[in-house]
Amino acid sequence: MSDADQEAWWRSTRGLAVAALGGAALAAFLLFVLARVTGGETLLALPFDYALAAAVVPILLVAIVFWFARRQADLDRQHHMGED
Amino acid sequence: MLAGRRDDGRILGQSYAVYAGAFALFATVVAVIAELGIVDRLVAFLVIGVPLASFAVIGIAGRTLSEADFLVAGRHVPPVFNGFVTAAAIAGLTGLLGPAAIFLADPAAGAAVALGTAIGLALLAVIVAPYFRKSGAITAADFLAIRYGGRLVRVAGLVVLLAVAFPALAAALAAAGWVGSLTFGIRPEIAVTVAVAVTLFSSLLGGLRAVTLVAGAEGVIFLLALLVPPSLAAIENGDFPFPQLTYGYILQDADSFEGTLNVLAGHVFPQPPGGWTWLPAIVMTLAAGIAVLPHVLTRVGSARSADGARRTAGWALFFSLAALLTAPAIAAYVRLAILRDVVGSSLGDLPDWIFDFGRHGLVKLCGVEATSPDAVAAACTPVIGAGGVVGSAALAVDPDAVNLGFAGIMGLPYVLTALIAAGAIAASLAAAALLLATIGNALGHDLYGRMLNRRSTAGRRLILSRLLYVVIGILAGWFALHRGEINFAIAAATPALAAGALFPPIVLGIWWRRTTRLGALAGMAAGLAAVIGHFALARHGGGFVVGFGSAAVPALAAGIYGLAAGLAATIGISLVTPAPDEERQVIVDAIRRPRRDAVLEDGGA
Repeated sequence: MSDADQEAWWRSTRGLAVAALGGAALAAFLLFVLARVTGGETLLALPFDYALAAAVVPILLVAIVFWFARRQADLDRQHHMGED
Repeated sequence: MLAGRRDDGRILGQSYAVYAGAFALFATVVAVIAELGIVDRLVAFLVIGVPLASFAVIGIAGRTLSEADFLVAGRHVPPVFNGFVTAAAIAGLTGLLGPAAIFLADPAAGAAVALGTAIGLALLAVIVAPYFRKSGAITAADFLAIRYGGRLVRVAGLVVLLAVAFPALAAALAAAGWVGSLTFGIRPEIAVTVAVAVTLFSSLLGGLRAVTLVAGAEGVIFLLALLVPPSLAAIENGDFPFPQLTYGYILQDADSFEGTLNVLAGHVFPQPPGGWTWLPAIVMTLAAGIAVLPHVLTRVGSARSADGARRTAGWALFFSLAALLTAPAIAAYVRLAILRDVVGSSLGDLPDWIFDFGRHGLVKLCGVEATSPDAVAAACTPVIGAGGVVGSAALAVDPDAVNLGFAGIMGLPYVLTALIAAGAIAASLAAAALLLATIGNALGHDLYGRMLNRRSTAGRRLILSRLLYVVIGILAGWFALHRGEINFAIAAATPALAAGALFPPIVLGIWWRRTTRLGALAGMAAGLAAVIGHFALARHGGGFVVGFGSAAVPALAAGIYGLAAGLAATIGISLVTPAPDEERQVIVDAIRRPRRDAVLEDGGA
């Protein structure tokens, strides 16, 4: 693999990591803003912002990590970087 | 099992499902027999003793003469199973009791802990685990030496690893011993000795391979202890059997009773958080710390591949959710039971568990330990009168006690109290064995094999590692007994130490090619010094800018100082020192690429 190919693969890898973590951070931020805007709203009888921090965002992160793992594996294959 | 076959995952899943079923059946039989009137201590002996014996047997069965099996479980551990045992080891750092205790003491801090843990495992999956695995490193110190080169980096990595992992090992053994001592009423020396013995049986003959197999069984016991009692409490209370979804309504019920809950500074959670101010710092400390905890890195290093390491972290997050979502439900039920059954009761109607835990100094009434009805009456009668009722202001409970006594507080059979104790001990032992393997392998492989005697044979390194396991295990047991409180305090600072001293050199080493050896050394030194300096000043009543050195800053939040110092030093010194040479650049590229590379010592296999 040439240096240029490797550089392209690394740029994509870096972009995917930023997308996964940045997306998670943005989603969490927007949810917390929503919680502030909605004021005294509750989710399953819990204050909305508490429920977001203690349950919703952690569950969201599980989904993001597995999405990320699949996308990264696809990316590695496309750039012939796979481990097999 | 763990033989490198494609169907390892299926075989492991089936084996541990059978183990879980057999243990559940055994506990049910014990519960039935207990109804016939056998003493509680015998119930505890069976429900805790039988799993402990099984851990030792599995540990012996997992013996190996292969160095790869001993150091990294042959790098054969399937992602789902690896994630499961990683989650057990993370939970074990504070035992079953930690998260629920934090939720009970302060729900907002509990939410911060849940969020920080989840972000930490997500960071591990995305920016650390696959690259650590690809490097072929055995330990965190080994990774730093591979990335940066040079003996000084390896030595510095070892110092940091020991500073982070050894107090955590002593604390895990102390936690297991404390729960055993409390449950059986035996001397702490005996309980800790048993904990050290089981940890050595789990690890000595098979290294990480045995630790991994035993951790599967420990994880099963932990999960059953975590999930079954709250569900049964919900059914008993007429609620939906998954209180993880409904504990908000339970808290509403609790709030319908008058009074607030006074929580003592707990054993496993020694320092109550200082309100909302420090919650973002708790999230940041846990996120950065968990992503680079040395024993967690040892686990991802045993994955089959870089992708397997990534998925390992994902599954660890998935299984950790079980603890993170159940802990507040446990806390909610305990809160309800205390406000409903204790607050507002007359002195003669207090439940037995008040005195059971009062005798251990874990419940106070009217300012004195609730050791007996007479002691409570003597202290309370002048305050509330002979026929008065207990107000919430008069009651103070230790969160560890109410979590360990969850089943008793909820009026559930004693067998479930024993199950919770078994789960807490199992989780602590899972962490202890993994920490012991991490430290033993770091000294045996990194220090002896890579530095002191590079020509040593695998057999000699294995013998030395086993000797080190014994010495470190006994030493940690001694510290657990004689420095218990200090160990708990330092263990609470484990994520802070890791965040300060390991996060900057490891993460920047992967993601910023310009990071230099001197930058990494400076980052480790500055991060470690900042965290230790903060705690040293806090101990002597200091307190400077942004809380640095102040005792008001929770231990779980102190990583922000180390993180700031570590990142600033690593980046600053890297920028003013010459860029890494060509050889290092090639290593960085090889660490990043998932496919095998000849430039890494074992090809990154």
